[in-house]
Amino acid sequence: MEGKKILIIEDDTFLQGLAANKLQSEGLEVNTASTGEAALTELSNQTYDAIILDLMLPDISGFDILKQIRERETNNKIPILIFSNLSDDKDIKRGLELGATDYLVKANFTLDELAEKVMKVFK
Amino acid sequence: MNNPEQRDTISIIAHELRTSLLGAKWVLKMLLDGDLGEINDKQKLFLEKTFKNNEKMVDLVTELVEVGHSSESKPLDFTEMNVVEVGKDVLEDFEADAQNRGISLEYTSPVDGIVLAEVNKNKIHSAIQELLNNALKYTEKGSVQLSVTEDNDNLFIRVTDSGIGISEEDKAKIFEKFFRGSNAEAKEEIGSGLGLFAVEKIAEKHKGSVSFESELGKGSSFTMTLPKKH
Repeated sequence: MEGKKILIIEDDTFLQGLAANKLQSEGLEVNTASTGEAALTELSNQTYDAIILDLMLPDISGFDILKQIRERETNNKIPILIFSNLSDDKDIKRGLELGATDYLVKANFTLDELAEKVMKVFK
Repeated sequence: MNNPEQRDTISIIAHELRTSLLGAKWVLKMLLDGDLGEINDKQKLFLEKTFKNNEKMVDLVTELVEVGHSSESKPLDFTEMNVVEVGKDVLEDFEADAQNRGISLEYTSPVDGIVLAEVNKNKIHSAIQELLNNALKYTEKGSVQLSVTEDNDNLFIRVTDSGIGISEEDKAKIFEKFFRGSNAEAKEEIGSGLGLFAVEKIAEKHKGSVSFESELGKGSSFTMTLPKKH
């Protein structure tokens, strides 16, 4: 997975750090954003191969970020994995309808399983 | 919990708790897998217990959110489905736990394996999960049985166990929010006292009810009776 670049959008810096370390150890180049604003700026400046997206952020909802990313895209759609505590069917449905590649409920995943899901999108 | 402010507070607390618990889960798993250095058998044992308790706390927070949602005044969406299949799905999740505890887990359903009813699948899934969870937690030996049956108008979901039972004194309070039976507390299993409250709310949302029979030291049987059509 050398050379693949991923952006982790997550406001909890502890989780963010753990996920970043894990994915770096898998050979990915990892950047992080703790707010929606920072994430959108980052995405305007750099190209990424995948995004991990939390939904409950301090400024902009993850759903809105997802919507904005998908509206900006033309041909190649960047894989976006929603990684959220929200586990209601209506949230999962909304995330997938807005174009998320997958919807992962945080409590159900260990770090290894999250890394597996990320690696899968590159295969 | 019909007050929107209370619901919001619960949601925020639940979010914070889940995030912290997830961080703990990840670190514990890394320690258990030896990612942060080798651990000895004693350390492993304690870490495994902590990991298990952390998972139970995740379940408790989920229960808390469930109670918040089930108290909302908006009506549920009902879809006609085979409730026997829903029961089978939930039961599968408990097989490993039952085996570890040495409890036999049994399922009774009609011979054709079909009980069609208009239900909210997620809520019924949660309710069966809660009833089975309680039954397994408070049964030391013997069996836990789930049955899904019907008559002309109603669907019956029953969970019967050979567990510690409920005292006469506790019976009147069993569906109260945050109530835990005195013998349940003594057993030192983690519980919030929200589970049966949530089950009753789910039954009410289906215009049904929950009843139970129990004998101290012999076991309990909880039955959800729900109309098949709305």
